[in-house]
Order: sequence, then structure tokens, then C-alpha cells
Amino acid sequence: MTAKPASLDLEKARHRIDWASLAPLVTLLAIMVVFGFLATEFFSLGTISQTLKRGSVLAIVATGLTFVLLCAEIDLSVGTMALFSACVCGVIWAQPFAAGAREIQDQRKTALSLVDKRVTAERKRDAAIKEREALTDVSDKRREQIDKTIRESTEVIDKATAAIAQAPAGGTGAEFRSTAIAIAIPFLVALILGGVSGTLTVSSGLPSFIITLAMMYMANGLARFVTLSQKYDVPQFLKELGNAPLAKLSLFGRTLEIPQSAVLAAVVMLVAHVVLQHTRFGRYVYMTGGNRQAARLAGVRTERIVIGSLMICAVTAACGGMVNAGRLESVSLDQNADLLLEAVACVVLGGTSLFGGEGGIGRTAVGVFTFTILRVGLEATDPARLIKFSWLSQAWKQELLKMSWVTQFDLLRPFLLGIVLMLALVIHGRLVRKHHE
Amino acid sequence: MSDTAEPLPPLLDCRNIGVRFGGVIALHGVDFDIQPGEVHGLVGCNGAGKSTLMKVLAGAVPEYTGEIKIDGHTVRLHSPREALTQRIAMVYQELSGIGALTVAENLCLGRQPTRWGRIDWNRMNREAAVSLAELDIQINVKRRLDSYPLVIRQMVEIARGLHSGARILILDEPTSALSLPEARRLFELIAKLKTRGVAMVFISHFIEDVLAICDRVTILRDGRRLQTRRSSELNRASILHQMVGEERESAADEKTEAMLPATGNTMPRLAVKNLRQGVRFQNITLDVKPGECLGLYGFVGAGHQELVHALAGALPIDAGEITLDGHRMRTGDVPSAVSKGVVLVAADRAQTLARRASIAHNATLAHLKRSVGSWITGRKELSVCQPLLERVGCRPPNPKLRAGALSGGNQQKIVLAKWLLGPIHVLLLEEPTRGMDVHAKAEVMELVAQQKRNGAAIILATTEPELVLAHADRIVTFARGRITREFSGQRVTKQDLMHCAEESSSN
Repeated sequence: MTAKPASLDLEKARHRIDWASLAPLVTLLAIMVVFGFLATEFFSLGTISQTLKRGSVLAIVATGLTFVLLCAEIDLSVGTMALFSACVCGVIWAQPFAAGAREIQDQRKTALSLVDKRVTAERKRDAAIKEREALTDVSDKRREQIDKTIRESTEVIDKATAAIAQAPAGGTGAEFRSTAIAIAIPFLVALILGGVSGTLTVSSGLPSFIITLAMMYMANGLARFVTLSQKYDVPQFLKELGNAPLAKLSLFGRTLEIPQSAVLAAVVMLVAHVVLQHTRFGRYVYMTGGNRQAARLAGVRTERIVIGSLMICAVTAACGGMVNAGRLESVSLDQNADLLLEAVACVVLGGTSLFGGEGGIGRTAVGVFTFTILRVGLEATDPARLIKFSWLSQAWKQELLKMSWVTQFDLLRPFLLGIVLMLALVIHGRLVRKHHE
Repeated sequence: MSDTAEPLPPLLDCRNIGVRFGGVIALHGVDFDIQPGEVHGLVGCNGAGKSTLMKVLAGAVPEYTGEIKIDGHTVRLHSPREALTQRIAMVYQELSGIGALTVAENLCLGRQPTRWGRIDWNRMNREAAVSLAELDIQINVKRRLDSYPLVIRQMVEIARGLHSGARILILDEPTSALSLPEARRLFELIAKLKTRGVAMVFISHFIEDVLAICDRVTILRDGRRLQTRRSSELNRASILHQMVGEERESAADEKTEAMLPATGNTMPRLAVKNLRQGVRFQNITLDVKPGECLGLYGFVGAGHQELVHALAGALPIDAGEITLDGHRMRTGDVPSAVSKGVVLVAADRAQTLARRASIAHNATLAHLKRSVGSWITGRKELSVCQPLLERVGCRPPNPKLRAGALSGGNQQKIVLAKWLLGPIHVLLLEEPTRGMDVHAKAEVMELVAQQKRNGAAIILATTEPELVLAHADRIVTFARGRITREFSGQRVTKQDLMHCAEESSSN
């Protein structure tokens, strides 16, 4: 009896566009169109490189957080966990056992600067040789001077060549080992702390909101304690990961830089996506969030799923923290302050439910892009420039340029960011509710 | 039925109410009216439109067509608030009272008496006590609501509706979770309200309850009103006949007595010895053989429902042992019970089904590795689910649909189907057919019977005597956490069972 209307409904549903799940993508496109008009040189390869570089740390952290939110839990400690892990990395790197590796990297740095020096010296010598050949009028004084320049340049070149030859060329075993230790231990520490949050959440029966709030303070305090509020250097590997491009693609005469960190973020997201969509653990994450009691009664060990998700989240937070430290070339306590809320904003912007069971990595990727493009776009937006290029009369332009919201636009940016976020989330929330009705 | 013949003008008069959800028509121009001081029964199978019609009256479905008149004035109900101002209150099947608040706070929720801007607790408690005393409900209003049994909570809910000034009360399945004495108590309350001129709509699957308490009965089927009659002109058979429509009398005929077969001498599949769990049940010793259905009957709170949860490992036990085929089982661990084929279908589908997840995800949840493997793909999952859904007769058989979009009966089929992907040695059922129409009931129980024929031991815990009489080979009655009697190889009637279920509660 009831079958007929239900199947009818199904047919309809197949043809209806599901606006609720498309909303995040529409938001992303809308933001891109708006900034295409407002921002300076928005549609350029530079913007893409910038977005990729800025978004990668956020993407890594948001990926782990997606697991936790899918479980209908939350991890408030991601920001300070990222900071603490980076601090651990920096402190370990400063230990005596890594001194050899640090020295090697310093030598390589000097060698790198010597290469530049050699190139200028070579150029100088070539110019001098050319000049000597061109000299017809043999004036001894001039010739002597040129010869001296050539001698000096050659000396510099030889010295530099010798020094470069002495410097370690590739990565030595000791350097590799020290770097690996300095990066592996923070991961381990994060894994343990994530496990502690998870175990306590499950065993105490308290919401993860409370437990991870405490963990947030603990990680922050530990970060302060291990660094003694000092700034620490980080391994070269992280600096390259954070800054160096993996590839430079030439497109239409311009170059697109693909940062290594963006590639890492893509790999992390891909792995996470595969885990969520194609493994039992991933499915259990969804079902634990969808209805924990149902999953439990079906024989799923939901406690382990929650603990596992919180551990994954802590590890991605550590990863994000270290990449960020590498990007900034050192680690200090002022980093990652907004990371937690930004990551939550990304995941939710993508349309993953805060109540668990719905969402995914694809959505988080959309959310990260939306959020990062919003930030990059706002930074590239200059109202003074827009006013100058507008068709307003000169008098109007003068008036407008003097207004405070134009001159102090920098201070308004977070406000505008908030407005856009709020609009996007409210519209999405309404669509989802409509969809469920 | 002609309106002109009615002596009184109706308090509420709905004409030609139509509702459509997307492409589906839920109500086709239904007429419905209530007289002051009348109890009007509303019956129909699941999906017949009872709840939709009542949701329209409660203001929860603003997009309806047709006309609603209250005291002869046309009104338009756009929101629950507007319905309340028209003094229509709804008491939902799943109670909406807040357990952590006191009875008085629940009664005055949203209208707390205040003094100097602060809640006047004394006055609130006094008012609450008075309004409950008017209804002969003698409870301490300062105690938390969840410290009282279901029937009290239901009565408080009704009192809350009245306290807000309602003169039309809509009771959605008020007796479905109540034991017989509790239901009787509720009927007394309803009768009392009637004398005070409160009109009530009584929605129920329990036809006997409807006939016992209602003045008139409206029968709905497939979104249409079949007829409205005085309940004295109707009987159980004729109502069931109209509700179901087709020739399903055999399914609709709920048993009131049964001849239990003699038990054989086979080894028991599952044996329970001296099981105890706090105050929920004590000294439980019973066993069930392969291919046998053991019925556990008792009122709500008798402990038989908690017992099946404990057997499935979902509830830790304090003492006693459970043996499966002679081997002692780990207790309090669902995964190990599932791997041994001891599986539970719990009563509350909010606990067994992730409504927002797809049917496929729900169906493969329990035996994901066994059925789909370690590498999960949508295609593999669909190829597992498609035949499964056809086997259990789920409609529509689309694994991608959200489980919440299914009707109650079909949801229950999915809950059952999830176990069919693995071994079933002992199938534990707690109220497997609660809130379902006759047809869905029969389908679900047929699935259970199949498992029984395959050699699974079935334990069926229920508060509906008809269900155990129709399906059990042996019946054990429970009262207050203890076994009161075992029936096997003899004739047993509904009265016998009810008598045994009340046995120790009387002393």
C-alpha cells in the first residue's frame, strides 16, 4: 500500500537537483566571481599559487578534523596540538645529537651563497678578459689593472670551488637520521596525546568538547614549557616543504608554482578519502556519527572508532603544525593561534554536519578552497583602487577616498570574512533543513 | 454521515483537507470533525494519513489545502504556536517532556509564574499540584519527571496540554507503550476529561482500545476517509477489514489463544542460569532450543526486554552465566555476541537505525567484512544489498535511499536484514512489530519464521500477548524482573498470560 507513493517520490527525487549538497560548491563559485570583479589580478596563476600555499596547512588539519566531526565529536586541541608538535620538532632539532646535521645544513647554506659569489666573479673575469682582448692601445697601466682583476676573480672562483667541493653535496646519513627523528617524535607525541583525549572521552562519558578543551590548555602549556618561550629553528626539510615549489609549470608565458606543501596536503586528503570511503574503519566512522547506539548494537566497537578518529586528528594537526613552522622557517609560540577555528570553519563550510554522519573529504576540500580564496581575495581587494577606476566624478572619488572604511579597510577584513561565512552557513543550513523536510 | 443530523455544532470542523509532500499525495480531501466532550478515534494502517492529518491540526504542516473551522470560524494553522492559540494541543507518541526537570517545571514550561521577574517556585509547585489533583494524579510535583513511569509522564503531558488551556487534545498512540493496568488508568483520565468537555482525538493501532474509549471512529486508508461511525456500530473485525482493505483477515486476526506444541529433548542452543542485573531482573534461568521460538511476555518494566539486551551483550550483567551450545559466552560485549551469531533487534528504531544514512550503509553495518570485504566500493555494496532488499521485501528496494525515508515496517526489515548477512544462531527480538500495520507485521514475522525454519533459536520479548500467542512455541511470563510461569505443550489464552504477568505485581 505504502510502496507506490514512496517509489513515486523516489523517481521525483532522482530528477530534482539536490541544492543542499551543491550549496558549498555554489558558494565557492560565487566567491570566485565576486572577487574576480573586486580583487586586483584575481584570475592569475599567482593567485592560484598563493591559494595553494596558504591553504595547504589548513587542508591537512581540516582533514583530520573531518574524521572527528563525522564521528559527532569535536577536537578543540588541534591548534595547540599543532603548535606543541612543531615546538617539539624545533627543540629536538636543537639538541646536541642533531648538531652534526645542523652544521652540514649550515655548510650547505654557505656553499649556496658561495655559488652566487662565484657566478659574479666569473662574470667579472669574463668581462675583464674581453676588455683585454679589445685593447689595441697597449697602455701598461690599464693592462696591469685588468690582469689584477682577472687574478683576483680567479682566486675567488678557485676558493669558492674548493669550498663547494668540500661541502656535503647530497643528504648524508646523519642528516637524514636527525631530520627523521626530529619529525617522527612530534608525530608520536601527538598520536599519544590524541589517544589520551580519545580514551578519556570514551571512558569518562563526557563530551569530547570538554576533554579536548582541557587537552588544548595542556598542549599549550607544554609548548610553552619545552620552548621556554624561545624561537627555534626547524630542519631544512620542513622549510623546503613549506616554501619550495615542487614544480614550476609554464602556462601562457607565465609560471605556476605548485608548492610542495600543497602536494602533501593533496596526498593526505586522498589517503583520508580512501580510508573514509573504502575501508571498514571509514564506514564505522560514518555510522558511529550517524547513530552511535545503532552502530554499537550492530557490534561496532564505537569506542575504538572515536579514539582512532581523535588520534588521526592529532596526527594531522602535528603535520599541519610542522609544515606551518617550515613555511615560517622557525617555530615560535605565536603560531597557529587561529588554526582551530579556521579548520572548523573549513569543514563546516564544506557542508559536513557538526552532528556527525554526513560529509566527507571532498566537501572539506571545497571548504578549504572557499575559506582560503575568501581570505586571499579579501587581501587582494583594495577599495581605493576600485574607486579610482570607477566611473564616478572626481569630486565623489575624492570624498570616498577620505572615508574611514576605505582608509582603514585592512581592519575591516576579518569583519567581512565573518559576514561572508555567516551568510554561506545560514543559506546552507536552510537548504539542508528544507531538504530533510 | 450528515452534519445537519448532529445536535451540536462541531467544535472543530475540517473540510476537504489535502496535503502533498513533493509528488506524493498524503491526504486526498479528508473531512473530519469533533464535538465538544467527544473522544474521536482515528485508525488506519501506517501511511494511511492519520499522523499527517493530526500534524495539520497541530500546525506542523502549514501547506495544506481545504478549510478548518473552529467554533464556526475559519482559521488557518501555520505553526504549532497558532494551533496552541486555537487551544489545540498534541501529545506525541515519543514523549516530549524534559526528564531532567521536575514535574511542576514540565507542566508550566514556557508559562512559569513569575514574581519580580523571577520564577515563583512556590506558586508554580502549588499550581502544578492543583492541576494534577484535579485529574486525580497524585504525585510529587517537585520530583524529576524521569523518576516516574511512562504512564505518569504521559498523563503529565496531557495535563500540560490542559494547563495551557487546550480544549482539543490530540493523543498519538497513547497506549502503545503502556501495560494494561497503566492503559486502564489512562482511560480513566480520558473519561474524566470528557466530562469536563475536552474533546480528544485518539490515534491508535490498538483497535480494542479505540472501541473501548471512543465515541466515534474515523477510518482512513491511503490518504482517504473511508467512513466515520459511532463506535457502537463498529466491531474489531469490521474496522480491521476496512483498514486493510484487501483480503487479509487471516493476518489481521490476532490470536487470543494458542495450543503450544510439546517440547523435544534436543540440546538447548542458548541456556541462561541465574542471571541478575540490578533491579531490572533477578534469578533468570531459561533456555531455548534450535528451531524454537521462546516468547517472553510481561508488562513494560517486567524485565524481559532488558533481558534480551543483556543476552545480546548490550547490557552488562551482575551475576549469572550464559552458555551457547554448551560453551560459556562472554557477557556485556556486543561484538563477541554478534560473531557467535547471537543478535538483537531492539524495539526502539532510534537505537537500531541511522536514519540519515543510506539503506545500504545500514544493511551492511553489522557484517561489513563478511558481505562486502575489506575494500568497500559502492558497486560491491549495491550488489550485496539489492538481492537482500528483495529477499526481505523492502519497498522501495533502493539501497541508496535514506533509511529514514522508509515506513516503520520497512525500516524494521532493514534492521533484520542486517543480520541476514551473517550467521544467526540466536535471534533476540524486542517488540519487533511495535507501531506497524497488520500487513507489515505479518511480513516481518514471516522473516523471523524463516530463520526459525533454518534452525535459529528465537527469543521474542514483547508486551503484546497476541504476538507471543501467534508465534511462540513456549512462553515464559515475567513480572517485576522475575519469571512467574512457563507455558509449554498446553493450551494457553491471553487471559492466562495477563494473569501471570500481573501475578507478583499484586502482592
